[in-house]
Amino acid sequence: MEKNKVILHGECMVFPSELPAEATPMVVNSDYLIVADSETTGNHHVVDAFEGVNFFQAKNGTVFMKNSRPTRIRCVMENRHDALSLEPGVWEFGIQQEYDYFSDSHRAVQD
Amino acid sequence: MSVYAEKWVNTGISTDRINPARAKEIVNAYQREVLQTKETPVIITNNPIEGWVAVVLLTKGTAMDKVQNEMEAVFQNKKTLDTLLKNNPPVYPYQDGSFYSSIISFYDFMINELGVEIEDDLMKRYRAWSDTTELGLMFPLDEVMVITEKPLTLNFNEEGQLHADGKPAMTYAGMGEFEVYSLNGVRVPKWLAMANEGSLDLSQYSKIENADVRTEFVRKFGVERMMESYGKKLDTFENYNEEWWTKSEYELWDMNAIFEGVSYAPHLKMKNATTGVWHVEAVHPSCQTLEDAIRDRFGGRDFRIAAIA
Repeated sequence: MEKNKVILHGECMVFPSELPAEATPMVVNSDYLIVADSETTGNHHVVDAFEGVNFFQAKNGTVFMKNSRPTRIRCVMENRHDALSLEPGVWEFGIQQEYDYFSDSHRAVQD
Repeated sequence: MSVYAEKWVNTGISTDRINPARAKEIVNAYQREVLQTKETPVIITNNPIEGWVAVVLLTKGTAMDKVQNEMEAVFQNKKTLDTLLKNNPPVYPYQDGSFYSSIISFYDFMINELGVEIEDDLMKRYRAWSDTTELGLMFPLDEVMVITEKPLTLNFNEEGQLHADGKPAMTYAGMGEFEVYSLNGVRVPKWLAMANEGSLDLSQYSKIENADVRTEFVRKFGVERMMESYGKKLDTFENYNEEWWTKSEYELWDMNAIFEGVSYAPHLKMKNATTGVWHVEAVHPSCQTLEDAIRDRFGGRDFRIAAIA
């Protein structure tokens, strides 16, 4: 069976998905939405927001995007990660996991 | 465009000391034209911590002519300083002087090169606003403006990222030892910036929680030295026909040597597709192959990587 595709932008994962019925629209007061923030460099992973690009949030906090036009996932400072195109569709955002051998548990990768 | 970029980058990273008379002129013009408040005296402090302590003291009733002595008393006793900062968490001001250069650069270019015309009154306000880039942070109080000097030293790597190996990347004059440690634009703990590669202990690596900081550790320690000396290769991209695994040179290594009492600690080694910098990150001990490790990174999902940046 063909696996679902995923696009990796640093620790950020973006993959085709379905919009949960309970997801609510997000208000984006900027020309981009931060989908993974960076506490050490300020070099957040962001998705360009404009007409035709709409964001939603599920009750568990997961962010989704429904875009009728191509948009991009990029970094504020693009020298760390090249920008990647996200074609029209429904996308889900997530953060890659790492294992912490001190707490014996998974955690989201932080940068 | 490049002329403007250079001009405003240089303004943004300027370490020139503030001339008190010029500072008063700029502050009073800013109060008059932008804030539209009365002109006040100006207190110049050496760094943002001093600036904030002065703000707290002034708002709690310390007279202007007593602030310097009171401030010195606060900084002489670490407990007093810590308590003051805990009870009055520092607030970053909305007007941050030279650090606002990137914003002003936009208007400077539009006005001078693209012929954007604005009314005289607005131009006067713009000039007053633009001139604040000669200063450091600005804390406007009712009766006084507290400003800070700009950094004393700033160091960058060839890519213009804040960087200094073996010393602070950014320092301020004055009390409070305001120093910033940064490697290749990543803010790192002092011990990592100051250490030479020979003195780094691999056990320190496993305690770093931030992926960017870990990457700087790997870069300084040396990925080959780290993996070949302390690890055992378990699997490699060469065993698979996966385009993006190959491009990122994914490998699975057992790094149990860096953990006490852990017999097996698989780690994924991978190369940043954009910068070529190596990352080494832990995966669950159940991972025996690259497939397992990559699935673990994806939270147990079975994805095909379509692109990486």
